[in-house]
Amino acid sequence: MRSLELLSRTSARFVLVASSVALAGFAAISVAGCPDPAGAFEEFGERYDEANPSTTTTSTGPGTCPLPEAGAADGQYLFSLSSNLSPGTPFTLLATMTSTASGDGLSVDLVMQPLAKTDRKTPTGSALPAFTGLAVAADGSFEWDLGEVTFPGTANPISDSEVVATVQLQGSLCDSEPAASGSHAGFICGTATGLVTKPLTDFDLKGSNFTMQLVEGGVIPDALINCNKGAADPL
Amino acid sequence: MHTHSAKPLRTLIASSACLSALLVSASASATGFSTARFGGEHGHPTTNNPSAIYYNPAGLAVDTPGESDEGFRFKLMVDGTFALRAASWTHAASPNDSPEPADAVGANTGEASLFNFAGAPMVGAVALIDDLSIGAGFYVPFGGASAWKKNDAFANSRYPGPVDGVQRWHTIDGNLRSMYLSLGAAYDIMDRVSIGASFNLVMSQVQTVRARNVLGTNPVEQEGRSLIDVSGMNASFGAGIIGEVVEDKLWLGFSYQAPPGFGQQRLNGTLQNNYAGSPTTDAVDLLQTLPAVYRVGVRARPIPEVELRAFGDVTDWSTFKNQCVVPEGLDCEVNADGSFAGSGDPPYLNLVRDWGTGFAVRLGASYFASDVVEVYAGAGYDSNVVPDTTLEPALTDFHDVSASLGGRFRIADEFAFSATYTHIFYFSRDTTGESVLSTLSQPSKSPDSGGEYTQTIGVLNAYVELMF
Repeated sequence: MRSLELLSRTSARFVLVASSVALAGFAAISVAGCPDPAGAFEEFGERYDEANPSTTTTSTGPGTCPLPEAGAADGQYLFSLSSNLSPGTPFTLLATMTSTASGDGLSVDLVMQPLAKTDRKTPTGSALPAFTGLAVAADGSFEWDLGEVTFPGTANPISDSEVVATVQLQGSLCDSEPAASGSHAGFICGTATGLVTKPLTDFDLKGSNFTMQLVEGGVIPDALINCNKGAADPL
Repeated sequence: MHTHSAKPLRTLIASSACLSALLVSASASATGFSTARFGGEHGHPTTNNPSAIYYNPAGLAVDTPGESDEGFRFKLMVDGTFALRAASWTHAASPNDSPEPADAVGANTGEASLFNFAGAPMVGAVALIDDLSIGAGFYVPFGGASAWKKNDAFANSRYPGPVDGVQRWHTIDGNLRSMYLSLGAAYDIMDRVSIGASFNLVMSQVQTVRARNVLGTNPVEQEGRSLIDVSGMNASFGAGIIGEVVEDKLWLGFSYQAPPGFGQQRLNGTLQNNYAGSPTTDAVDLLQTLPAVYRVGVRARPIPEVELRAFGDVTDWSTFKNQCVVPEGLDCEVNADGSFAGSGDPPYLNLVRDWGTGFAVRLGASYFASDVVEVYAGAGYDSNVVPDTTLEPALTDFHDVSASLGGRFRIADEFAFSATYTHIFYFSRDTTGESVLSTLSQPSKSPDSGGEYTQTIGVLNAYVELMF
């Protein structure tokens, strides 16, 4: 019986002290901040969406234009893919383009070789599988689905990771953009969309851009990142 | 788009997160983010209350002068440590900072501050049968939490990032903790020497959000967010010895706590990024190595009314080289310059720490005014373990001194309670121009973290003991 009384008495005291400590703690909580990392992450997303209500495009999109003759735009191009992740540091590839007439438009084949991120000139890794039969409409516009492509880590200017992504290009191939040498279609540009699956999972490329600059005299030009001909960040 | 209907739910969730901060210490540190202050001035390597299960398991079997040391006895201790922390970081523009846009001047420079509450519980119990004792406990000896104030100057900015504060490239909100569930045993040999050991099950968690750019720089126009949420379970052990050098008058103690996992921890979870408005989630591991802790102490009762204590610890934070976020299952291979050293998939992020070994010393004294009332005071010094080169707002450390005042009140043979207030005074640091984080290569590169750091913390520890 004495034990029960003792237990009862000590329990009451314990509850009294514990309640006081807890009250002090909760009072302090009410006046001081506390961490909510997930909430802060979510709030940023909402603020971003409010600040960017539609797809961000950092360049003036291509319009329609006169189509070059079949073969007139053939040649080597510096292909720059400027992702929305880091627009100033594009993925670069050396693209060899050949075109043939196809109905009112053209049919284009592309062979693309990734270039090293260190100088944007030296081939690295294996060439991408050839893209054939890419259609260009009579007004010069095109939408090319390159499917899933893999870039080696040595061509990744953002990190050292291999990149796997689906890529679609929307642009125009214009006779009105002659190169300095007089070649047709010296500058091709447009927007890029798709989904990165590695190293980030399901990263949306919306808002990305691409350019193709004709390689003349064997000299690979400095990379441009969008239709406004913005320059890539220096290496 | 913004949905107002989500606000009440978020408030509820945030409140829950706030309450969960009660499991987080507030960098009321010994060194690094060691935060063991449970037991107040009675938490030390010669103690014989249930907090001994961490400070020195041998103490589980140490007798209290004047009390029975035979038959069955039981001790229960319920402890709460509550801290209020104020801190600031003032960053001046660094040559390696990205230029601020004309309409966002002050987004990356100026002062950031926080004022946070945090708490950590400890519960311990010991059953003694003659010279043998068995103990169990739950406590949080490593931890830190921070929630930085908003930068209201950017509340209506067209840039979504700067409102989270100047420090956001290093931390916005974060929790980091290692919670221990321990089972220990000790034996009192001839009433003069106690030896003890404990087995710990350690659950570690890291959840933190920071501003991030894929290049490790800090451009306001291309600002994203990274949220890491990982956890893991490890084992560790503690062991110690206490000698009663002079009967009922002088005790010496030494203990060792092994690091969780006995080395590198692999915490598993997710990394969420929001770059360019496209949220992604990837499975990742966070690799880190927490320290071993060595403790030594002496406790003396020259006269029955007075107890003197001197104790300290050496915490081997030199193992805390980095915190590396890698694709799930991979290792962290980086060169000295921070660049990727492997051939497969590189880390998502490698936070270079390069901390050093730290130590803490503390002196304390108790006066037993009666059988009921004990008053005590203490003072201590903790060394800094974070070099100027890698100090950043997410995990800070300083040289500090602290002073404590408290009392223990044994209002019945079976019941006592104690309260201790400790104020920790931190010596401010100015690391402007010293940070190397922005000079490292990817994936180790982060924005410059140089600046002036200040901090002050007040800690209230309270516990109740039940003894029979």
